[in-house]
Amino acid sequence: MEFKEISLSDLRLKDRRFNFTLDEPDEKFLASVRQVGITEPVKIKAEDGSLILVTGWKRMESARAGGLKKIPVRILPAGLTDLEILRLAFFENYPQRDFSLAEKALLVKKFLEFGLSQEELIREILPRLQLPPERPTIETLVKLAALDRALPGIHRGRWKLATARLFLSFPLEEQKLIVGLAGAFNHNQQAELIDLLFTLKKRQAKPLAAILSEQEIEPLVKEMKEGKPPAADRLLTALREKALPRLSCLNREIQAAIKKINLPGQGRLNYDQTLEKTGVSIWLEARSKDELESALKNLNESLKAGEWDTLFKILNNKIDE
Amino acid sequence: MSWIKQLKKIYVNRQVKNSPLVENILSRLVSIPFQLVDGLEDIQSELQLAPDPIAESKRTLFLTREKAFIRPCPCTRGAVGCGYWTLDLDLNCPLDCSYCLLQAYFDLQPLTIAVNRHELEAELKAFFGHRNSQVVRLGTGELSDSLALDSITGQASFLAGLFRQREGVWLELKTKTASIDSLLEISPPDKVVVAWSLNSKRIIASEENGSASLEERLGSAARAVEHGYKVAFHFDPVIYYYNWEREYEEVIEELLEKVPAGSIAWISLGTLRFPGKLKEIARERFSQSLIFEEEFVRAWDGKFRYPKPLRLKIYKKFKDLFQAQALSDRLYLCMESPEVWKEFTRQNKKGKLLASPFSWLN
Repeated sequence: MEFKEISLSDLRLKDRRFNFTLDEPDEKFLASVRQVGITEPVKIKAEDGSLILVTGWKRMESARAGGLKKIPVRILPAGLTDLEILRLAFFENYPQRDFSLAEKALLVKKFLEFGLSQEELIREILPRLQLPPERPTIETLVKLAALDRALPGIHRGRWKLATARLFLSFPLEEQKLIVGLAGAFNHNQQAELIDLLFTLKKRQAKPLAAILSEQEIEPLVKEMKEGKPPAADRLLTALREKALPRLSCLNREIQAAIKKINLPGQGRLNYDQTLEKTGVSIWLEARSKDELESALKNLNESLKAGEWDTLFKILNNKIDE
Repeated sequence: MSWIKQLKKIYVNRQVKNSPLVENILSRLVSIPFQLVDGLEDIQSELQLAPDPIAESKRTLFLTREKAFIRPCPCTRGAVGCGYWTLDLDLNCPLDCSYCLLQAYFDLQPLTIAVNRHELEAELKAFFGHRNSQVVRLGTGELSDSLALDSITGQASFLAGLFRQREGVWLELKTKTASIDSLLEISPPDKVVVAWSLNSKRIIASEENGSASLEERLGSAARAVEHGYKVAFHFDPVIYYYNWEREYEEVIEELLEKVPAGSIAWISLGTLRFPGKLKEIARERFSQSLIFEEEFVRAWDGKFRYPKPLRLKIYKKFKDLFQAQALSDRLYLCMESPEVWKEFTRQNKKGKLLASPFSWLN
């Protein structure tokens, strides 16, 4: 492999056929490049007088951001096919880092485009990507890769395969609606958001737009579009309440009942919000025998005053239709 | 058998190619191509190329040998067990129920039939030898349907023969089919119970693909009783939906019309529960199904379940319906928490197995 230094401007960067990296260089990476430049050469392919970047996309981006004019490169031997080069790029990368689902989707799409058979993908690549080595996995990833402009968001949201499958089950217009909302949520919330929207849509047999236009939801969606961050949390809560109406209602009643209890001093009360356990746990703080005695006395008085009745009644209650 | 019409290929493990049972099965399926293989991996590499590997696995038969057959039912972490033992000769099931846990449990597992019955016999003999002092129930319906493959394996009557005159040891053959012909050809051993999983007609039609209708199941239960068998029923999973109360009530009415209460050995109840992985699979494979979009909580064992108050309401409904027929002492809960058990029975069951409380089995 020939080693040399070339001008960044000599690279044909529009040709991204070997790129499957969606990570942008972070501050540490940039600082490192600013200090010592690029120490590990990137790999390139020479083709018809052009130089095409194969590996080292983050290094190249950092070099550009750091104002470097030249970078060290290794030129791959002539005669390698695109498939062989992609394979090389993959195997160079895969021991070093975990790929996001969006990156895996890009990889799978490129392998197929370069002529790798589905069978080889299933046997050789998918297990290394820690994905179910089955044809439906390939189908999902190919569809995901086709989303192109949404991929960076999916990458940042660290979607899993199940979330991607749910997302892809929505029609294109609804996918756009979801992508428009998802950016305001962290990755766990994104998965929950898509799950909740899927459930509500299926349960109510309504288009997504109609669900998002419902009275309790629409103002929150509007606030989110206006960039008000707390609205995202409230939207998720509102969707949860719609998807889990009985449980939400019981939990609201329980919270109200707890508020009516005068717990002594620093006392706290916990209960199982899934309602699997009927019991509650009470936490008291005392620094002396007297404090403990006083706390227990207060607790006893609140019991006698009937402050706990509603709580236990609800916790032991049945759901009425 | 509709599943046989769907069969695409038979694989035979080289180790058992000379088994008489293999010859017998192949002679019943002459129109289906077969291939000798060295092991499961050879088949899995084919299954993973299918558009729906789970559906494909149900159209692929594998005749092989298994190392061991009997194990205690794993139940679920933290639940009250019922002391059940599973007897796994077949792995995977030709029926295709949307809620079936096997979809998530197995990974590219074809319909697998263990043909090394002499080894099963030896294992059973040892098992009987160690367990002659207490009531034990074993069943084949954990990792497959007990009778779905019976038309080609003749397994039910073979097993029934092994359980003849075994004091305190009960064999349960659990099914969603009406395939009891081979059982009707033998005299019924008194410790063999033929059991049906039951559901409402709506759920059978929408979720239990390839299974027998409620009428067919109850009709065969009636024939089994007439022939002298004890029977059992499993309302599992009970599914919550609009009008569930009325529709399950109709099932129980129909059941008690056709099957004499005195012939019922036990009845189990369990509401829909599933690990997250199953929900992912079922949403993909059964896009019309609505049962996974109900209200669930992630319960103590990590599985999704209806909220406890709803489960209790469901169990109470069934208890009331069976109480009216003096059958409530035949009821038990499958994979439920000690808290639910306590509220259901008004007794604390924590830490106790249920097998011994089946006093009528002695």
